[in-house]
Amino acid sequence: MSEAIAAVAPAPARGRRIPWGMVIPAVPVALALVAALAAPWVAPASPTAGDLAARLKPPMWQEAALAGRPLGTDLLGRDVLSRLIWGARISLVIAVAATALGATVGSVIGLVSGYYRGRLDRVVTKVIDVQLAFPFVLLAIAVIAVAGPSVPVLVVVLAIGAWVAHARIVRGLVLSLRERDYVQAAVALGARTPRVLFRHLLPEILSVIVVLATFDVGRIIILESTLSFLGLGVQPPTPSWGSDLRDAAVYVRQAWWTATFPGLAIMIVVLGLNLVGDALRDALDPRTRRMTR
Amino acid sequence: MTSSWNRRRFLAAAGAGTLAVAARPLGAQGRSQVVISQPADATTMDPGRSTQVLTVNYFANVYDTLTRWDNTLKLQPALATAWKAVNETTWDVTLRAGVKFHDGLPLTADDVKACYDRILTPGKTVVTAGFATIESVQVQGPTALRLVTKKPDPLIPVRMAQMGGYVYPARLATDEGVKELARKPIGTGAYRFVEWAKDDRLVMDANREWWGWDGKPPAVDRVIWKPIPDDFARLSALQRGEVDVITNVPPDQMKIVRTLTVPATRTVAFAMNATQPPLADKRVRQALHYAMDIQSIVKNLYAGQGRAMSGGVADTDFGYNPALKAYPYEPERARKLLAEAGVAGGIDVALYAGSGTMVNDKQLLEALADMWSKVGIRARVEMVEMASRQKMVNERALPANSLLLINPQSTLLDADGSLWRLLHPTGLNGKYWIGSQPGQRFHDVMEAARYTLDAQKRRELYVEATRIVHEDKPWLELFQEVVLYGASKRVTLKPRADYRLLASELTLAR
Repeated sequence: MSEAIAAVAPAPARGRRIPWGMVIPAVPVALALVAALAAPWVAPASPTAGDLAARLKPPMWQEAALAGRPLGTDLLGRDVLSRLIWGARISLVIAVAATALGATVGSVIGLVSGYYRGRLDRVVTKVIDVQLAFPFVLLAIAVIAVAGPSVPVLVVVLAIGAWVAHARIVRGLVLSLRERDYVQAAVALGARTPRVLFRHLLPEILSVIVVLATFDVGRIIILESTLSFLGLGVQPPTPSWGSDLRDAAVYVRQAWWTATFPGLAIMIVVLGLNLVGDALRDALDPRTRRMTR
Repeated sequence: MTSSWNRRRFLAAAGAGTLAVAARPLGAQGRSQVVISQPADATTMDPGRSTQVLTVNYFANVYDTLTRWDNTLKLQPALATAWKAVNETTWDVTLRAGVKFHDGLPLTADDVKACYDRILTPGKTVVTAGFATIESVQVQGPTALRLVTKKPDPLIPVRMAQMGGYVYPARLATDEGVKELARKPIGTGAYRFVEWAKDDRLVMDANREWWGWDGKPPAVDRVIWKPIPDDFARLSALQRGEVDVITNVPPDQMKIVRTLTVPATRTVAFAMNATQPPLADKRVRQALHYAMDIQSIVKNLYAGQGRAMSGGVADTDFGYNPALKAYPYEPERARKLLAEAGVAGGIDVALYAGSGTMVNDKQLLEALADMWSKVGIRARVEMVEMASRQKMVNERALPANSLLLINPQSTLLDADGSLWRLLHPTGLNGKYWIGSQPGQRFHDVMEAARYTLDAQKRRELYVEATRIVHEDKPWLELFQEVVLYGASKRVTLKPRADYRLLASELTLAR
């Protein structure tokens, strides 16, 4: 608890304490972000151009490695490193977009539902309960089977999986916050509802939403990889960590690097996001420690 | 955590149990037993309801046809011992005497007629097309049959051997009867059905009274078919000795198990909707071929197991034209052809494949798209579910300027059962190419060949037809497949080019 307090109120007089708990896990996340943003410039080769004659070449520290292919080549002779870098772009774009969509929709629904209570609230909570009881991957498969796999569909499907947590937690917070004096005062002063919701309530819970969203990005990267692994996500030849992992699964015994690196990328980035989320939560909002996890 | 550990332990225990059962090559009474694993279980045991190669393998062990291909694909007598053309459209067939069904009742001409009548009734089976030249079947005596064809049909003896032509008792050929047949098949074949637990095991015992044993006792008394869909799991099962024979070995994995191969009667191609520009232009279709390095694809994606081809007919078929060679990889020529066709700026096409159509299907599409991109052919890769693919095939709903991965098998070992089956106006690719339509030279040549009794004349017609296909490229021709089986050391097996896996052709080392 003392750490959390220190993080909430860093005492400038004591000199700067570097929050290692946040910085270290932020490194892989930052790297993935850089890779995603600068993919065309940092990737050594094209992620889709292959050379069948140079397929399944090992990474550079093994014998028979190919120059300019530091992490080896995949089934079609494409550069594994370049596919990782471009895959970061796809994974992060989808995860961030889906989280943004889900968090926005979920938070607004939670705000409104918690503020108005009554019949609307009962309906919303029932919908949330129903969705929580429904296996998400099954839902995703059904939606994608009908709509066809494409990036926008994927973002919407993943957002459907994300909004519930936001709605539930925001609603819970608003239920108690709306009774606070300052909210009542704003209402008494004649503030209209949107103003109360977005000027008085939202800033109070924004930190919770940010923390939650950080976890969500990690969770959604995994979900997107799962769907791509099942062949329902990003379509070939667009590189994606999940679909690369699936293609490589059969070849694990001959070419471990084709499966290992996309798998590691998913693991490290998601772990990083979770740890950053933890640290953010401690820093921004120690109270909700129990609620978000 | 606890629950996952329990689950794992349960699975391990279940696996050990299977191993214990299967690892006994000799049954309790010293009987010899073989476990065969294909990637899929039979979808039915009614031979009228499937032409899927894996399912037909289950049929082929239980049922017999009137004629059959032996291991070297030579046509041999089976339930029929003799057949001759009485005139151009009438064939007399003599049935083998003394043949009994697995239920002990004798086989008569009435049974054959009932099965053939069912095939000839539209909508009752999925195999009608291969028998469509037959007008009627008449019973002339207990073992004498007469087949009357609509037009002269040189292929009657072969048609009697093709899939779908299996014989079962007349009482099971009714609408009610086939429902029973689908679950509890009764035939005259080398193996009789014992039991079937869907997706787990299908058990067959040797039929000691089978006419085909030739005086020798069956080498395998019991066959257990154990479907294992996952390639990796199927290979491991063979390595661990849980199964004796597996089909569909991925070419990349050939080295890790004892693999038996033979060039297949099956080809790999892309059906192509060439009804709209730019693919409606022959030069553009040729460009697709010149821009594809098929040798490299076969060598690298299929471990060299395949033979690049052109003309649409595999070398196992009557009508194969050895003069035709696959187009060489010449990207410059492809670019020139595109320019001549007025699309120097490149074209857009879509490549479709059902997930799981064949080994490395997705990689094949991606490699093609990558090769084509170098000459300006922009290909969108679309992997679809097998159900969507089936729909696309059945409804002939391939969009214009799209290609769909297919691996058709020759049903008659004759160009009529491959080229004309697929490029006939009602065939899989016939709707998509102008050359298939009546009045076009290709159509007329193939129709003429279908009704020509003189073999030499037919061969000449096929030479012309395959040359048209080679020139016009109504589809994207890739290569002829290779059959790849894995087998344990104790099994002797010669794979068949027609993919039939017959337990009666297996022998065991003692």
